Amino acid sequence: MLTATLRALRRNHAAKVAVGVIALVVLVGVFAPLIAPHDPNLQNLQLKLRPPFWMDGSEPGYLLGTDKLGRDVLSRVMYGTRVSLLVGLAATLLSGVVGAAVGVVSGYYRGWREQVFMRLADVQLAFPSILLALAIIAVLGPSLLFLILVLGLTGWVSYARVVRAEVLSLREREFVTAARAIGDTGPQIMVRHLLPNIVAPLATIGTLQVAAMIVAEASLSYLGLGVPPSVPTWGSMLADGQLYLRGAWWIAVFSGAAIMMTTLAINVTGDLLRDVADPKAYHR
Amino acid sequence: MSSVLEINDLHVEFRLDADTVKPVNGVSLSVEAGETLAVVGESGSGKTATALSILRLHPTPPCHYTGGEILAGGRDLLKLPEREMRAIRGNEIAMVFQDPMTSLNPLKSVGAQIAESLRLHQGLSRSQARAQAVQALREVGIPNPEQRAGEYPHQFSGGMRQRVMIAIALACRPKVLIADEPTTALDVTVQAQIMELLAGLQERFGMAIVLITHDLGVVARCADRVLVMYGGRPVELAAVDEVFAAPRMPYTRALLRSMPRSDVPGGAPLDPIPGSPPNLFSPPGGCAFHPRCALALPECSSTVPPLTERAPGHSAACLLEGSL
Repeated sequence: MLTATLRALRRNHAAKVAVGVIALVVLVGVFAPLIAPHDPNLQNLQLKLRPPFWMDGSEPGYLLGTDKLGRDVLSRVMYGTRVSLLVGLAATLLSGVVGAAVGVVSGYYRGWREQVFMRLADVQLAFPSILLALAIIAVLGPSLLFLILVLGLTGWVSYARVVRAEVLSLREREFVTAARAIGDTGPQIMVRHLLPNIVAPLATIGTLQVAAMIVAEASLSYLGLGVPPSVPTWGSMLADGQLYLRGAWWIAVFSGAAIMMTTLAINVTGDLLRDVADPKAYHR
Repeated sequence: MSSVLEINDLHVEFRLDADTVKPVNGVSLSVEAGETLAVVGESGSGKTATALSILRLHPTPPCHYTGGEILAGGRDLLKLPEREMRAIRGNEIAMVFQDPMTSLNPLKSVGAQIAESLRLHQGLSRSQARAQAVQALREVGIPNPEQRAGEYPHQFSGGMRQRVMIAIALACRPKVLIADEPTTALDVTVQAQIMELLAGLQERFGMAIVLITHDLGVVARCADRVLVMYGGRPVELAAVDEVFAAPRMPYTRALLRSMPRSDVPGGAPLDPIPGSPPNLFSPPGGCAFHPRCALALPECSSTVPPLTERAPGHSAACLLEGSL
């Protein structure tokens, strides 16, 4: 899969750019404390609402301007990367683990387990997950951990459905019967023989899911129900900047651009992975 | 010698939504250590259904074992809890499947797949199992086994994969090996090699082989005794020479006649069996073969003849007495 991905990457210029953007975002997130020019929460009311460097009235050292409290927009965007990546990856991982487990069990055992889990998935799909997340956070209070848990536990459905469908076809393959014929138990077959064979579709959904989770986190933060207000995030910056859109557009625009660029890059990469995992779709 | 596997009057049903299909209707057979019993019949005659029943590999539902017993090591396999059944699968009774292209997990090295069985049943450590897996590959005649053990199924040819399947099946030295059409998916020269390999390993390890096949050439070469099945029922059971020389059931005779022969100068025309195998959803009354039987009597459509011994060691299920 890795070599096939690299080969596909060589032909796909959009994906090259996308992978570059993702690498940049990850580096910025990891090294934010080292490269950010200012403390993202340091207020300086004398420097409030300064524009980016190329405009009149800009303050040297504040490349992308400042917000209503005089905090450096560039530093806040850099630190916001950390929350977005952490929430995006952790929530995706959590929903992937839950969804894959549910999907494999439903597909392998069929019967009542499949009925229960798939009806549960239908219920979950019928209910807007952002609303559910909103309600839970509103009750429990904003916290990074709760945010990850809520997003992670509402995102399992897409994995569970795809994994179940894959397992339904895999379980009829002869090597699964052969595994039973040497005495493997159900769990052994699921872990050793079924899961390794569905890694490719899992990775593909996972990639696309990271982007969806980043947007979900930004939406919740925008609504003020994400992480605590002291933590700079792209979503809360967007909400803050909204009030000043006419005079100080840079606050909302740079955080919004960060959200858009990151999710776009992840989606383009996800499409590439999907094409690699399913060569038939690639040539269609 | 006593039998290592004995099936008495086995009945299997698949209960589908609307219908119930009975692929196995009163099959009885036994094999002794070191013996090869061939089970032959057309597609749909219940050969594979019987084979999978021995290890209880049919999914339940829809499958139900409605009658009979399968005795191995003094126990009735149909009554064992699933946990004890797992200890028998691959350990006392092992199975080789028809298509070696699909019976191996494409994502695991063949060494790991052989080691899996050894670790399950003999509690070997990873490195011990790995070493034994290499040994098992050597036994089935795979050259350079140390290196090949780390390779993946797609790096093996069909015949080599079937050798790997045999190595997996025999890794724990089972008493019974069920080979479900082990050569059907292979080309003819490789078929002969695989059958020779099985015969050689049988001589060495003394296991009984239940050989499921519809290739009468393979039967003639390898089997000691033959069980002919039709419509889920055993219709003739005899030593291999007897079956070929003096079949006592018209179906057996028809099967033999539909086989191309190389011993007749100029070649004899094939004599196919008219009609098609019985529809298991609505099997014909009486003897399942009577609609296609050249010698059918009026009673054949109403009476199911039991499998009875006609000569020492030779049983047939037919209203006609004597050899045909």
